Amino acid sequence: MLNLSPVNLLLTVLNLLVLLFLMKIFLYKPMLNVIEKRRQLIEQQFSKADTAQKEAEQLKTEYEGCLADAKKLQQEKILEAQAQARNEYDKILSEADAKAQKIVAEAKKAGQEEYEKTLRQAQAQIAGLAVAAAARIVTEAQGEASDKAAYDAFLKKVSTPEEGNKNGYHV
Amino acid sequence: MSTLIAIGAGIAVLTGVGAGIGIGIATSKAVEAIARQPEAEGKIVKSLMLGCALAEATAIYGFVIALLVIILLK
Amino acid sequence: MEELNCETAFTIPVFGSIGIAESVAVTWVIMLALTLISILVSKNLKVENPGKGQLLLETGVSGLHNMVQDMVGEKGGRYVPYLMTVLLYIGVANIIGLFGFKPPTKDLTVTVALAVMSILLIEFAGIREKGVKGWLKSFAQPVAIMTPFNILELVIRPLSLCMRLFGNVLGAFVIMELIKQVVPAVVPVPFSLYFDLFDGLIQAYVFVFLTSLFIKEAVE
Repeated sequence: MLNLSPVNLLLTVLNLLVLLFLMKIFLYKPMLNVIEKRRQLIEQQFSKADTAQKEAEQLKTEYEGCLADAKKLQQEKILEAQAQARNEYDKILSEADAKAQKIVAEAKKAGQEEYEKTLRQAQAQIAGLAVAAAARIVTEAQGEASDKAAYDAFLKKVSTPEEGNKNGYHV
Repeated sequence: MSTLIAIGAGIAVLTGVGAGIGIGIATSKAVEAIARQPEAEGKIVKSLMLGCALAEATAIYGFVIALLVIILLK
Repeated sequence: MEELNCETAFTIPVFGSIGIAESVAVTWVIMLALTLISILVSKNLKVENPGKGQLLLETGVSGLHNMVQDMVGEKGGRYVPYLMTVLLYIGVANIIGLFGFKPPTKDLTVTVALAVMSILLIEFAGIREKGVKGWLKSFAQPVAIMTPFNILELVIRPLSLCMRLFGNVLGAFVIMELIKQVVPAVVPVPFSLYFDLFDGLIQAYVFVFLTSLFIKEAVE
């Protein structure tokens, strides 16, 4: 137990060194290798993921730029369309205005013409009636009674010209 | 003669008293320290292990001396 | 008390006759077992999708590695494999009593060899880090008057390391043998758990811990 034999001491030292060697070859090296490899793999994947994310972000910014462009374009289009529509509207409005004015003017003119025509007709009729009355007065001037009757008849005729017409009173 | 050897070995083993007291004090202090600062437990336990190992050495020396006395003087 | 003796396992008839101590023979058995287990477990290591066993193994080995690395510090990284080997060896040697072998660390020869290698490694690390001059100067480190004590430490450190391990294992062994003589069954089991497993592993840890502490001190 307490005796120290140099041979066994040396053998133990040798044993320890051999064990260190064996452990290094068979345990630490493969183990650390695997761990190191896994670390590398993980790092690689991390970097991959990083680049992928960067790409995705780039795409996103591009996409956002496109979107903004599209929005701007849309806005422009809308503005353009609005301007066009306003133009059109104005044009239509002015056209309609003009047309309406024309129609009104025409209507006015037609009314005027009608009026004038009616006036003229009325004048002619009145003139005719006056002539007829004068003729009757001239031809049937036989007393006040008859005058009065003639006058009444004339008035009646004037107030109902159509009846008068129907009745055959004609110039 | 063998009685004397036995007495000598017993006296040599008395070194264990010191180690026991020392380790007891160290452990009580370590427990206090952990209670005060639970987050430093790892460091405290490490230091405690070192201190215990060093304090225990005296008891072990006494034991080895007792063995030597018994074996060499027999 | 005959269990205490370290018998000669066999003799090799060269150079007169070399008696191979039992501890050396058991060390060979331990080496063989460790190597075979290492080969077996590291045969099918996979980088991707490791199995449960491999994960456990990796956690164990890298945990051991990190533990020793922490103890020995940054600069002592090159000594980690040796310290790990010593840790494994002492750990297995201390608990091999469970399998019916006599623990090799019960033999003073083995602990002396371990302690001598430790002190050689410590001083080698100091010389490697500081150069011969710096190493010699480090003996007069805090003050010049400490020089004799520092030189004494060259002897005291390995002696303390060796005697601690030897005394602990031998003490545990003696107590276990006594218990086994008194009650051969059942009762020794919890004692065996404490003395063989717990104490053995603690002593392995303490040995490596102190060695790495000294190395750390030497390289800083």
